Amino acid sequence: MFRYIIRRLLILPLIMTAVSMLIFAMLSLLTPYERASLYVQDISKRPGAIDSIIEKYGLNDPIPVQYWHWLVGRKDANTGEIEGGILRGNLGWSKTGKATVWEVIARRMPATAELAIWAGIPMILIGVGLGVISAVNHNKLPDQVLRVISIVGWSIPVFVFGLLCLMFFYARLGWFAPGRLSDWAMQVVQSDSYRVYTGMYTVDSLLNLRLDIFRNAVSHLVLPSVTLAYLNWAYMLRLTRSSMLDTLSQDYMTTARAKGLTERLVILRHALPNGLIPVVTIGAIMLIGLLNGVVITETIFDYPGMGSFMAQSALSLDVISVLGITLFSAFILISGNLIVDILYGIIDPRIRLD
Amino acid sequence: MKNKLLLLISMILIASMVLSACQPAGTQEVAPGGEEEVTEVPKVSPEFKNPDTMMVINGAGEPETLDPAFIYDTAGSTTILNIYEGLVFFNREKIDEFIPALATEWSSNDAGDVWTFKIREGVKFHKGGTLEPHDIAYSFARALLQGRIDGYHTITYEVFFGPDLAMASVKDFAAAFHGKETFDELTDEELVAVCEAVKSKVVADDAAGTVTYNTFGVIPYLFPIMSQQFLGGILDQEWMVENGDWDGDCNNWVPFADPSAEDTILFNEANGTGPYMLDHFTPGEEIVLVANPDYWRTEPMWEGGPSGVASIPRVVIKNITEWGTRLAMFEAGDADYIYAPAQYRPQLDPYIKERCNIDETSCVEENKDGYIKAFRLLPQPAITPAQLNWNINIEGGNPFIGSGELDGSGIPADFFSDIHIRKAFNYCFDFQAMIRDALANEGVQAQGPIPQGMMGYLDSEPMYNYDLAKCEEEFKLADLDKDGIPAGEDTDDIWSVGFYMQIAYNTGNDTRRLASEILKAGLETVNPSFSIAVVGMPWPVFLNNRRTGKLPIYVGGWVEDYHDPHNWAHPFLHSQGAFGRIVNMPNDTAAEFDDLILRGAAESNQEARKAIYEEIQRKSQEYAVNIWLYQVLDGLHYQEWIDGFYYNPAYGNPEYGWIYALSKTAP
Repeated sequence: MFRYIIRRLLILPLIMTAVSMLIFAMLSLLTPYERASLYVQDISKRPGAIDSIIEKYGLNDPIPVQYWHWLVGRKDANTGEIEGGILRGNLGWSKTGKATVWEVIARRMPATAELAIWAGIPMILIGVGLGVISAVNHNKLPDQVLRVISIVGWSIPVFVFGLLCLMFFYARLGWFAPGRLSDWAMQVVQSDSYRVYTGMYTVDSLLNLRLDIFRNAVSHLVLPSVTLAYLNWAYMLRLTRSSMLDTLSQDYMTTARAKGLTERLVILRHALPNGLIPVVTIGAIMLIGLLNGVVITETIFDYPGMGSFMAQSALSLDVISVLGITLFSAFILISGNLIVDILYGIIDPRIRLD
Repeated sequence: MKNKLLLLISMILIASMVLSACQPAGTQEVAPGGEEEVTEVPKVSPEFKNPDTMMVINGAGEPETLDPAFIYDTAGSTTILNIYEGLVFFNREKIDEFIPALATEWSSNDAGDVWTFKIREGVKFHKGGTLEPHDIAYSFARALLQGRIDGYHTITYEVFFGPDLAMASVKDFAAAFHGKETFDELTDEELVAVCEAVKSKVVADDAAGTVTYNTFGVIPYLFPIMSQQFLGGILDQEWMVENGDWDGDCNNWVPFADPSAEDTILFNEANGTGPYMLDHFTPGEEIVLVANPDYWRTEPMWEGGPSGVASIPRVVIKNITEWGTRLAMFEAGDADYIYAPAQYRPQLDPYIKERCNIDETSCVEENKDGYIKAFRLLPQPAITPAQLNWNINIEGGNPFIGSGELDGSGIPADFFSDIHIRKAFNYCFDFQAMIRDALANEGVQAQGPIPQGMMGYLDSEPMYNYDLAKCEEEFKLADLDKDGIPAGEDTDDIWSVGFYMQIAYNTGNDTRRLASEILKAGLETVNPSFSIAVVGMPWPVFLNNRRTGKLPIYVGGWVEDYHDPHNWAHPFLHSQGAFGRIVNMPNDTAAEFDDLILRGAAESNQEARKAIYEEIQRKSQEYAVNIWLYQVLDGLHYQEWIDGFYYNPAYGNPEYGWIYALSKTAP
């Protein structure tokens, strides 16, 4: 397994290089004038202004040259200093995020991770739990009701569900506000007396012994988490249900029952471990997806995570930001998949990673 | 069977719950008898929260930077209006009267091109420094020598060095100043000379407590510009130097020339003298301002105006792009102001408690159970025309004009150079439908480049209205094949042959799309052989096609940089203006407009100046330069507990342009 992990880790930079080259290749489809629009707030006032912008940011350079500058950095015309260069550990300046790409990731990733955890855990636990109940009660009332709920969950567009939740639970009832924290709590978090450990407010508030901040952070996470979890646990439910039904029909289940085991033991000890194997894969991929940000949910709930930033960057043709986030996402995706593969080997002894 | 029935019932129940939740809050239905049945709207009672904080929920972007010399966006300009101050400021809602700010008095020479300002004493910067005259000279020189590409300073170069040096950036300016082609050709001595020339335009005398401005001739719009932060934002020279900015030495300015936004120390920091101090700016999240406890102003700005420390101690400005989220925050009482574009305002109408115009003296109670204080029908300084290109670029092919020939499948490149075609297009546009359907009646038909309420705006009605008979008549008078026979009598001209062309707008701007659709409908109605395609394109693609002069017609607007007719006539009609240069008028027409525009900019006599701008406005219609579509009437919405608002169109985003005048009181 160790050799397998090393091999996969060695492939990582190759894949990331390929991804970055692909993006640069796609760049050649855009004219320098189209890319210069990132720096143009409005119709330019003077002739030649856009040409000057193109020259200033080297947008007219051949794509391989631009790629090289992105790798090793570019000399600033005024100061003569080298700026940027991923090989120098600099992902460049994000025009959209108004900070370096690293800073934007550092600022937004904790928010996304926190949301992924708060949405992901109930998504998996409830989805799997209900899926098991549905499968065990195949074609009975609980199964029918859960199937309806899962179909509805799967079919409601996220922006409809999210907005309805927001208008009802926040605007009407005043319970769960958007954003990450209320204004008063944000003032506490930004004060000198509050220490930031992880950037995840639920974790940091506990470490700072501020239960009021913790409660506030949780109340802001409720709606986006429920929105994400509800729409995704429906999928988990259906997946678990079908996988469990398949497992429950295997011969060894009959054997287990014939041995006199209780139904509870049959399900927990024999059916569940086998039925959950495909669920682990899909669940992990869904979690990784959440870690890369969820655009619509973050937008509706004014949640400053990676998803909304990715969308903004792409829409404004902010190539540096798009490249930085894509590489980061690729890293998360590949690393996540590696972990899933390893877990897969552990929970399914039939699989040998070497 | 039982299971299927259960499944069906469950699905119907859930679907009905979802659909009922999606229903609008309140509806008006017409009963069979014809009487309107008014459905009660649910009562909304926002909770009064955060008495010490004003929460501004914007939705149209956030600042690119907070450097007053660099900013060229309304979000940024508006934010720093509360942080920095100039020598003078607008007198409440008046855009042509000025009150002292950092200057206490001023005078000019007889020629009107040298202005001397007495600088207020005892003013402190937010970080503790004391305001001195040299800070003003430094701020001015730094702004002009920073001169980022396509920022505001093309205007200041014009004001202090004349229109020939109104260049796109400091590098272009410096090269042009010495008559060189490029900045790289300049020697060290020439670079120093550029800096010294700039510094000579604003000279400080610390001992006398004065600053003298030397303009390029008479500049009638000097004070409107000085009231804007790009020229008026005064910095503390000592603090700037300590923090690594330019030291004021002419040998050292080049590394600070035309920087990127993030390269200046004021990118997300601020040190002004205004009523609010920057607490922090976290891009993508919020800008927080806090009241300046040492604010110098002790006398009311005007009768009944604010004085002393700001009434609202803390201001949080957030940019939330999703309308539903903004509305939810407003209904919950967390937001004190929300950005509400015209298409969403009908959702707010049932909840308007007081409907006002430019200030609270005009408020009328509308619904005692409502919660919104709405300021409506505010003449926003923004004109949207359908821009016509009189000489379309066909180099390398041009899909926007079809075949490029007068053959029914396209238009020739000089299609709009025929005045009858331009007039016909004007008569075929249903202005009232535009205002009614796309602007929800919150707009007026534009009559030229100069907006309502500004010098040069004519008392008369706009020259064109929706009149298909006149549209047809003008098309028939056109002579596109230039054979001397009007199209109405010529079987191979436009009226008989027809045409195809594309109208462009930038995707996402539904108002512009609707304007394009309305024009298409008018033209295709007047003659079925006319065919128009409305084409939406992403902003970068739109900009590129516009720049290359390939768009025959496109819908695009202008928001002013400063409040003066010069800032309208020049961009739209000058041959080098932002829009004017894409119109491609023939030389004689362009020269006629250029001459008028330059005369208007230099005229100090207000009556004479007014006459010039009225002539420009009139000619812009007579020549049908464009289709002058509409001027938006803005609508701003506050919680009922916000008091003190007045509308000054020169503030950029007036809703949070001058928070110092606002207060928040529990209802």
